[in-house]
Amino acid sequence: MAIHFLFLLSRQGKIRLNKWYQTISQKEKTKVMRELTTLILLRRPKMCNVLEYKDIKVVYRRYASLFFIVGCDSDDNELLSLEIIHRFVELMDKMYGNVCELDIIFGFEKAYHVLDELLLDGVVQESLKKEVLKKVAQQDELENMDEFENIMV
Amino acid sequence: MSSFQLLNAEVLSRLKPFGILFEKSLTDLIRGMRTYSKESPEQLMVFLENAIVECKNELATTDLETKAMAVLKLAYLEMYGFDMSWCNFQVLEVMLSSKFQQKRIGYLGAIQLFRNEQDLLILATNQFKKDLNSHNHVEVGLALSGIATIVTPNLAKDIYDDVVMKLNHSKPYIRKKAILALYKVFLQYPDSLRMSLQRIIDKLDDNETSVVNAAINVVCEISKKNPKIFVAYLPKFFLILEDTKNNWLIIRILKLFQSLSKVETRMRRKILPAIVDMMMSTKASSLIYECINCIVSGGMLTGESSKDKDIARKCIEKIINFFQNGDNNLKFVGLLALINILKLYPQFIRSIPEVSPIVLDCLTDRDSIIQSKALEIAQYLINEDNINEVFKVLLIQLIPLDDRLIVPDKLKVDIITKIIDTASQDNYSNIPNFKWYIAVLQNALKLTVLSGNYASRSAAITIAKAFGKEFTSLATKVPSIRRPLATLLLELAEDPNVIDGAPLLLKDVYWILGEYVNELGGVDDDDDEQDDQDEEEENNINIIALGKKIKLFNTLINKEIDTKLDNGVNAQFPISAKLAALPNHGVICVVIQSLVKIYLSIVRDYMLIYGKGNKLPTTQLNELQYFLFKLIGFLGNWENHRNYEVQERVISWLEFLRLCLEAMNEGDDSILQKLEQEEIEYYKTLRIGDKKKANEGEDEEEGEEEEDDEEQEEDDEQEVDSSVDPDYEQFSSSSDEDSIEETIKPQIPVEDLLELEEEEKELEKNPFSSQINDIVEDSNMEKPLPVLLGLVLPSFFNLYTLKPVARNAQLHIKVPEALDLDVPINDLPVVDLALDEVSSAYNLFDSNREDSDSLSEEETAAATENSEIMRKERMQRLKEDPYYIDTTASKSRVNKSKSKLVEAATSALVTSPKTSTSPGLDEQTLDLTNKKPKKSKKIKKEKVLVLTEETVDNGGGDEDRINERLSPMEKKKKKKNIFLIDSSTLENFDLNAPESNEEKSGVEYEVNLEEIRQRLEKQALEKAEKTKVKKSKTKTTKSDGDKQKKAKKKKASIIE
Repeated sequence: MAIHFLFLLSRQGKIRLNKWYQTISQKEKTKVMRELTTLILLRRPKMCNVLEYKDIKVVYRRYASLFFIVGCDSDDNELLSLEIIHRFVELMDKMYGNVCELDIIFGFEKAYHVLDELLLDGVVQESLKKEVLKKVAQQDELENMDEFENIMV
Repeated sequence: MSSFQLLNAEVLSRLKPFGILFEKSLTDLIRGMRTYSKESPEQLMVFLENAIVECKNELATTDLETKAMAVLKLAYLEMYGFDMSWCNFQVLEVMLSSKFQQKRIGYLGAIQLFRNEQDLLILATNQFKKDLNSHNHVEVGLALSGIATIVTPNLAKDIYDDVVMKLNHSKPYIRKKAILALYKVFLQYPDSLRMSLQRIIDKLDDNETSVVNAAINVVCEISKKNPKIFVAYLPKFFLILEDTKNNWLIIRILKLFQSLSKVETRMRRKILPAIVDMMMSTKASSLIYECINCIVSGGMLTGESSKDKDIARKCIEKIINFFQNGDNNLKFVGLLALINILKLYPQFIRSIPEVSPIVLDCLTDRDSIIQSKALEIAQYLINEDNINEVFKVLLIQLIPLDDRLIVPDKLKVDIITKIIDTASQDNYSNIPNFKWYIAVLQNALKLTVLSGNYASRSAAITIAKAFGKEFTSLATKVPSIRRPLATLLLELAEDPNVIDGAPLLLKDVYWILGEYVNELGGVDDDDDEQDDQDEEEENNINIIALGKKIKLFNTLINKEIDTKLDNGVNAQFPISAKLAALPNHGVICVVIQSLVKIYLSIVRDYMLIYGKGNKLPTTQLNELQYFLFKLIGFLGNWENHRNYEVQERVISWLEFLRLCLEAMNEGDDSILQKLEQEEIEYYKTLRIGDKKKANEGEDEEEGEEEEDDEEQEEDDEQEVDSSVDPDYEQFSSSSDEDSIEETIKPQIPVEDLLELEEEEKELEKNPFSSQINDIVEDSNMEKPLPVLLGLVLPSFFNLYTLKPVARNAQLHIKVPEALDLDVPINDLPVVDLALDEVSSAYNLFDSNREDSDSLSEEETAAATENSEIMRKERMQRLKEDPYYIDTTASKSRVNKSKSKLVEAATSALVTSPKTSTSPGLDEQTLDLTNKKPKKSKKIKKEKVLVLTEETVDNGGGDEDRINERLSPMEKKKKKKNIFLIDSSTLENFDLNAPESNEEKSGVEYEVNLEEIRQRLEKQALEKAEKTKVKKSKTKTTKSDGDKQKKAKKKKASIIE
């Protein structure tokens, strides 16, 4: 049930976020992402969102100009993977407030933080949206405290 | 340390407003990248390189704030595919910061950049422990998230206790993270599973759904590898399933049941009804899909009982709903589920009327992924009545929808293998008409192999091999189809595209053409009518067949003519040249044999047409002699081939063929030279004539000229057909025997004349024919064919008929007890001279290598030259050595009869063991083959004999044995998956085994620590220095000092 990797791809083929829950070399990563980029950009809108790639399944979905791409085991539930992607998008939407590609580019660390609260090593750790956002907010707060302390000093 | 840093940060932050910019902020970096990426990739690269250098400099500063920013930037740059492993040490520093903001960046950087940093993480163990035990739960959560991603075996051992403690944290947020992180610890440190599995299971009773969810998740993952441990907890899982409404959790439990059901079959009775109920009641597609998966993949449906079938039917009904929705994702998963059910119950494809339209619809879907999947069950769809329709649908899928789109390789491979597999299923019982099937294959071939357009070579190879295998199997199993098949293959062999695009296909093409070369007779269709044709017409047919054979023969071996004519680009025999230089030695091995077979067949035809008794007119004999001469010349190309098998085969044959040639010309080469000169002259005039024609007018004739390569390729097919017919008519029109002879005498050019316009004028113009006529008139003597050609050569090939043999037949042949493969058949000849040479040559070579530095260039050159000379000498001596020749000669005979077996084996067919063990029976069996229709099947359109595979009966279990043999290879292949999380450590993990001794490794790790620390320190310093070349020396030393200070402190904290 674990996700092996997740990355965001713009329509121009640029990587916008990437997260790997596997220890593989940078070279391998780049190769996989490049191969999947060509595969996915060639797909047409009405086609199905599941690819079989090597021994895994790759599930992707397009939101506006971004492709969200997830790699999971071949016996995993594809519909659930789609749901995870959707969940991630919803969360980002809530956090950035009507998320767009630029938000993710400039605030990429926020996106990572949300993702880290949604998934832990590729496994969904929290199915409640509210909980995830609350935790991210708590962390942000703690960060701000730091800055506050800084200023105080 | 911290106070110093704080001070530093403070100073920096105060300096910033005054314009001293030490760091480029993240936003600047991203903006810069965006602007540069709009310009040119080179500029972007320059910008990125600069940015990385800047980050390096920033990392070298002592200010943690700056470092953190640099790490964040690097984490961003990592997306562009840079390898960032050089900054791991600094990332660790940031990670260990006391400030949460920096810590968070550090963990983010670590998750993004670290890959199994064994040594590095040892340094930070204590800090991890500290973070895990922080009073602030947010920090603990962060640490758990980070650890779960970057944990290594050593770290797992060290922090295991702390993670386990977190299982009882007051906050569910920490508990669930701890559970999930613990799974990663298990993976890295399997012994810990024994200690704390129970604690994970206890968490199943937690009040918080998210914690239960996490626990189920871990249980589910472990159960994939080791389901047995959890059988005892089934009731508990079941309770959770009944209690919860959370679909995420339910799906996970279903996944768990799926793995448990494989080891505990009794659970099905209780659980199956619950799952079916859930499937029927829920509205969530993902849950329905999971229910079906659980039922089907979990092996809960096994028997043929009506109950099981009922459930399967219900599942299919649910799946049908997926297809009516119009969503392609649902269509895809529905298809997957359908495939799984149909594999168990193929009958449903007919008994439920909606199913087969769905499958057909998927076969024609525009999405190649869905098509490929649907292909998996296409064979259930096919029966004798609809095979035509279905194959048509499949072939259409090979045609791109519009010019821009290419059909994906995978789909091509899938379709081809599916067509072939379904067709050959049950010994071709579904094929209504084999000519139709050949046509299907021909079309498929045109759409795949001949069309080019491959993205990958492997797909081309797979397809070519599949076709080749199928052709061979058809040729051996279905005698009546050999003639049309041979005609089709002849086209392939004469098409230069094939040898360029799919040389592997040629392996089987050549084999079949060699083996069944006599099927290349005249007209393909209406063979029934031919039976009662009079002798004369039969003779004509023979002549046409001979023309075809000679044409094929020349196409393959006339390379020499091109070289002599210096044709260059406009080669008349491009295939021959390509064949000689073909890199696939497997194909060459086959073609050697085939060429000899074709030659043999030419000899046979000559005897049929011109022969009287066993005598031939001298002219014809000379022609045969010339063919043989050419064949020897061509095979000579491979005499020094680097592949052993090719060399062996070629040399064996050459020895024999040279003997034949000697027997024919009795040492007199003059005739050969004369004939060769004539042929060259002929092709020269042909070329000039062609050029003239081409200049005169580019009419319809142009397409038929041989030099015009492209045109030829396109028109090849028509050419053969169209050229045969007028030819045939011409022969039959000239009824008196003399005129026939006259036209046929110039046998060599005939095959070319077949292609060109066959006009009497041209014949007269041709010097070759006129001269031959002269010779004929001069010497109309008759001579017998040499025994070697007339009797010995045919006996190599025609002694036994080939029959299809089941692949398990070989297993049943017992190895003779007396057979010991390790004992040499004959003693090795004692060639002391040669041996000495070899050893000295090797010594020379060795010394050459070792002292290559000391030796001057001249010396080495001389030495190699010397060895070269010696080698040549040795070769010469070996040639003359009676022992050496003796062994090859005696072996070659054996080889020839054996090689046939080998050849057959390569195409998965072995000559029948029965016949091969009883040589006395051969004549009988020859007759019997036609009388012994093992399986003649009445088919709608055509009655065809399909030979069944022969086997030796020896009880069952063959498949198992074959699979046993095959399985090791398959297993090897499976290990390649890079995405597979290595959870094999948990496989068959024995929970009750005593704990292994860990103390030893503990000691080891203490010892290593110092060394590792120093090494890492050194690396970091080196890197820092590299980037700092431009900076002032004082600064460098200062930061070095800093680092050492820090490191000392760290060391202290680690050792404590």
